[in-house]
Amino acid sequence: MPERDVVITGAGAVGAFGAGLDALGTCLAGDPIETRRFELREGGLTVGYAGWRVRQHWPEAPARLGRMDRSSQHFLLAGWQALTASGLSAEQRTSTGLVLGTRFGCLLVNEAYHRGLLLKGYRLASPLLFGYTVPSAPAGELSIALGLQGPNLTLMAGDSSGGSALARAAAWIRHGRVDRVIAGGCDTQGPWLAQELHDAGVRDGDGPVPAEAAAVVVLEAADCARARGARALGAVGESEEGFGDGDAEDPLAHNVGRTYAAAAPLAVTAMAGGLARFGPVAVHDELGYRVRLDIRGPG
Amino acid sequence: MTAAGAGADAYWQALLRGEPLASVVEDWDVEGFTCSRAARIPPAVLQQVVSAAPTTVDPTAALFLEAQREAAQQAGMPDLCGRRVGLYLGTSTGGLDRWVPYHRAHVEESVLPWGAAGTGYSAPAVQVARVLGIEGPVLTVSTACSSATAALGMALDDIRHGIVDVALAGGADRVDRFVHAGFDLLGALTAGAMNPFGEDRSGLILGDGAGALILEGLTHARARGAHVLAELAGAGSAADANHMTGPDREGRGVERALQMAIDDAALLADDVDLVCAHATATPYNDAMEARALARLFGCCRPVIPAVGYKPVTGHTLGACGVLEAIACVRSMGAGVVPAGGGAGPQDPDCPYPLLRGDPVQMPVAVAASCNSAFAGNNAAVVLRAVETV
Repeated sequence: MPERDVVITGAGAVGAFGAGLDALGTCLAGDPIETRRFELREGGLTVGYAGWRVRQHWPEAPARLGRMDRSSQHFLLAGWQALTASGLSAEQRTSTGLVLGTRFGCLLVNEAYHRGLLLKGYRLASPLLFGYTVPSAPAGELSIALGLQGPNLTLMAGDSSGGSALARAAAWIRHGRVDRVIAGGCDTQGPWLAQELHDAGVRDGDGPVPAEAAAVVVLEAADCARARGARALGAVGESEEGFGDGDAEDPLAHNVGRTYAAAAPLAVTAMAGGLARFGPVAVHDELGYRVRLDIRGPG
Repeated sequence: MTAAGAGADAYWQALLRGEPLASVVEDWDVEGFTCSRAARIPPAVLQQVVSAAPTTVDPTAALFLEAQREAAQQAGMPDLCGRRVGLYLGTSTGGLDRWVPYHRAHVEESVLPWGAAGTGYSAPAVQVARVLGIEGPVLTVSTACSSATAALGMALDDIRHGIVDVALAGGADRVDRFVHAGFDLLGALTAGAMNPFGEDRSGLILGDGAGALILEGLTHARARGAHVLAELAGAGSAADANHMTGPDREGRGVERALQMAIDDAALLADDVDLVCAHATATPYNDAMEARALARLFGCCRPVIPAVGYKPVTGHTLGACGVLEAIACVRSMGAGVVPAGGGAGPQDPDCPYPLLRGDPVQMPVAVAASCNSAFAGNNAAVVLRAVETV
């Protein structure tokens, strides 16, 4: 099978900057992100932390939203935005795949579950929380909410996780495994993650503020997008990743904060939304791992 | 690496014996738990493996490194390093080795362990990559119990598409109180023996495990004169899109994953000689899986044998997929299929037969292996014997 071109037909983004591409655009134009300072065991740390609630932006969100962890809620909203923008039908969603990249995964849920286990004992620990102690929980929730029954993958590769997710999704389409994939990155913040970051040496004023974000794009084979009359918001080309030299700077961190796994997907959504123009999108983290994606914006 | 000890031979012999490897857990308090047992790697073996690994490596990563060492030796490829080598590690609990004591120290306001902060699920993969010098893609796949199978699928794609020449792929997971308590709270563990597809099945028993496969393109392998054990011929995955901790009751997700893997291998269901099922001995998993197998393979004659190996090894979570793939490869080489345990009558609600009793002598040219997981994730691979490649 010849390789297929991969285009972007929908994009969604949420974070400490707000919910939606308009909010992202406002932030990129200079509006500050919302922050919260968490007091910690020793000292404190300020992080980008969203104050909005999912239902403000999606009144018809699933009834069980309140049972979900924060990452699932944010990924769900960004995914719903992207899917709505793409105009995919319910039938087209059925065969659609999903790839999530996350650096911190379910650490916030792990903390809550394990704290209960330690302080309350085995019998009073929460089985509901345990069900979310898998990094794939947001991908599972999005697949349930939107009826995505195609291939489903959650992967982790430091700050490159989200970019790697987009690269894998594009490869699935390019080589014919599936016609459409929803792909993105998500990392949320909270007191516990602030504690971990602080213990790892992150301090206020040291570079971009750690911030939560979820960014999702709908990737589609160009021929499938054309056949249903969908507008291509951009295109995804080849990618490369691995350890090695490189000084790829997160292009949006100055505005939206350091968004970890969401960094590359956020840059791609900004391009797809006509909010920014870059060359290739590349992210490089302190572990020395990098991902580079060739992206073309609209037009 | 399994509760049988170090090495694929120890694992294989345990499967042939068909005796459960689980024993009463002594490392944490199991009072009040429904299930007090787990199939853990013997402490002396774990100690030896951890001692042999660099101090920067956590126990889960050390287990995977040991599995890698055996696989690389067998492959005649002692130096797995550089930009053309990728690492694809499936894990469900990776990183908890260091995180759990770190978090406990925080909760109990005691002295924090050194260097524990910021260790996430990808810690074992990063540690292994650094020890070996792997500079290509280093990806942690964390889709709970289907992680290793999904990791094999990613590795297969990257080799096919020329991203890497060689892939180190597999999975590793260790049981601890965090996981043991969680599965027990969900009612997924049994107080008795695992009896997949059995009328009286009542749940699973957890186990430690790590397994590694060295994958490379056939041309690459032949060019260096490698002894090829089997072909990873196809992979597939699919979401149930149904429930976070319960499977689609009809098994449609695992059926789609298996079908995708069979299609990916350019084969038909009729071509499959052996199915290695997830077979957790939980009421809903087994019923849905048996229905999926009945729809996919029910018309094939003679009946394609299905096996489930978790009664022996315990459910090794994110590692089970690679261990089961290794069992399939061993069956291809030996012409023997271990039955895997289980006893008594099969549940009529599980409408596909699962092998029980003694190992069966039979040629296996094509095997399919599948796993299902929390969050509705399903993954499958198809393996083909080298004679047919």
